[in-house]
Amino acid sequence: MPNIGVKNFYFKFTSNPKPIFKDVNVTFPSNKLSLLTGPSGCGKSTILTLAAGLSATEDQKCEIKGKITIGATNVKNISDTERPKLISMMFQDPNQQFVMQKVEEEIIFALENLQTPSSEIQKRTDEALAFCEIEQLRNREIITLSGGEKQKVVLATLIAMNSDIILLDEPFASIDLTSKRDILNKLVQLKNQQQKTIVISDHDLSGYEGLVDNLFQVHEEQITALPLSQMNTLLNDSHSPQISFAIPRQTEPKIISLTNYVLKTPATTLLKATDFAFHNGCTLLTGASGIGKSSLFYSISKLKKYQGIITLADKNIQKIKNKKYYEQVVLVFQNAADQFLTVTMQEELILAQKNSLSDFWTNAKIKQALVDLNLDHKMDQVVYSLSGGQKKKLQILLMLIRDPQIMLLDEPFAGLDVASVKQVQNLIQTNFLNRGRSAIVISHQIYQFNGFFDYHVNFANQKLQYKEELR
Amino acid sequence: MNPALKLLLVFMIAFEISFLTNIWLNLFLIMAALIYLFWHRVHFKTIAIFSLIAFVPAVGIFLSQLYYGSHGLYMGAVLFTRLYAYVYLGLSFSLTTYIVNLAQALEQDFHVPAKFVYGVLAAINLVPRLKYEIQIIRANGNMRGEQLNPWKPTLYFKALLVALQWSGDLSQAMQSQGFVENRPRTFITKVVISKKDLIIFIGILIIVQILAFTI
Repeated sequence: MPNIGVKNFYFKFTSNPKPIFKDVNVTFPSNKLSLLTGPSGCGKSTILTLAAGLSATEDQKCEIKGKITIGATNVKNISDTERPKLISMMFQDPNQQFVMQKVEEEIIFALENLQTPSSEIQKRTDEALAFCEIEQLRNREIITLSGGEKQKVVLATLIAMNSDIILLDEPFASIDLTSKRDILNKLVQLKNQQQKTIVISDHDLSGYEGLVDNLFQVHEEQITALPLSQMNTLLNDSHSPQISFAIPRQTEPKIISLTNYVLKTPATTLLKATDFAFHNGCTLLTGASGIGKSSLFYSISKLKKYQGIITLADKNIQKIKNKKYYEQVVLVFQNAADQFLTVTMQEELILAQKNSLSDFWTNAKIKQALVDLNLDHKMDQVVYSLSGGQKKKLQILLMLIRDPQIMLLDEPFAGLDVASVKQVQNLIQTNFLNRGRSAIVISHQIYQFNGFFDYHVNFANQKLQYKEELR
Repeated sequence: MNPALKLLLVFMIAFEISFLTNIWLNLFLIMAALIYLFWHRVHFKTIAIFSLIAFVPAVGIFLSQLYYGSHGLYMGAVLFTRLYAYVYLGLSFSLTTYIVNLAQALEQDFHVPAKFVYGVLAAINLVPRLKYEIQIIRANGNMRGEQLNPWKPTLYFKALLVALQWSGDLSQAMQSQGFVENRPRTFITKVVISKKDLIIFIGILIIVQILAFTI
């Protein structure tokens, strides 16, 4: 079985000033389960996508030096016909990986592509479904499955394809810990029984204890293999900074309340809240990936169905007209580009200022904010061509200029370096929170400058709970 | 019947009646299509809904012919029945055919490129997601203080960006499952055009010709 070699590798997006990787030399060994970790946006996906020979990176302009090899062969020299036998990949978002409507059709589609003899297709489909223990999903429509089930279907497809190497790019971002352990156990079984080489990228190290052979870390443009002892400490130890938060007093004004509230997916119940309130101030919302934090935000934004009642200042939000409601509550999307409406940065800012709900943001203030965020020299650039971090900063500035009462921020610091997080937090604090406005923030990156967060709500076991500490 | 052949048959008949002014042929086709639909146990309600939707334009055409056409009542009736013939012919294809089977038949029997067949198939699967996406785009418009009504280009601009993103995702999805353009694929089920299919196909066409030119 072949390994994956990375030699003198250099990678840079043309639009970014700094490379993502520089002089990387690393080997992901064959017949092992390797875990690749590092903060989101550090380049884990990039390297896996390149190794899998997928063309996603062709769309963006980039500079690549050095090479990635599968066994002895440069990835670039592997033909499209040969590649699936050697390497296949599970994407972060399973929705991006499906072509067909039903579970079984999806696996058959892949097998037909690989020119599997007609007589074998059904047998291999059955085996793959059985291996993943999802035979009962065979005729289900994929759109009705939960995130975890979808990932199992993708896994079954990859197993049917029978590639030597299986790459998984942040495969657990949208699923719970139990499903994560389930799939990981299947992968270990696959490695042991069928001698597969498996590489998983994940920014979250929970759930891997005792299952992983090697741990690789992306750090400052490098990928390093960590020594065994360090790996074990990291995997067994949940490491997060000690920050403490206040618990809101009952008298503290409530901004958004949930009463007899139930949030469901077609497959599971995500959250039950008989009587819960978010209070005035800035609240950090934490919880495992895929537990339903974003879904909660979407339901508060009237973009996802729920049972029960959500109130904004004692008024049922379903009784408030959309136009009025979204003047008070805005959702700052996880994907910054979703928020843009025009083409250049200048146009976005003009639009934001025109539609601002107050006179707070003067020209001078906007100019200063742009300088602080290091965006002032980008005025004529097309917003969609900004780097990930720049998009994020612009998006937050635009929503601040709109000046609503409440902002729901979904991973606003993802992909930002520490210095940028500090600037963004300062900006939100001085121009928004200090003026009596409120924010609820979902974040995996718990940097906190100048006591940015007042409260901390943890989302676990289908419940929301105020906590004084993290974890 | 082979789905692709069925599609071809429906197209050919529809094409032919658009040149003919034969009420009896239209009525015959309407009856035949309705019998076919009920034989396939299509819900009466579904048929009724489509019939109602078609009623407004059908009456519109009828009245405009009645008041302004040179052959008034006769042409009005022809166009009225023609529209319903189209509707039921279309339904008797779309409500009785599983889209995946059509894709297989087009790919295997009519040699339509696989890239096209599966691209269209995947696009059809995306329709429900697109609906939700448009809801989000409009909500975002409100959050930014812009009312994105259906006549605002911004709505389409954003939807187009989403579609572009999805098309990239889709090609990557197909690639990740070993799909290679122009490379032969194997098939789990061989979809053939049987002798029976051909006989029915030619038979129906002949019947339609006889009706078209004798009544």
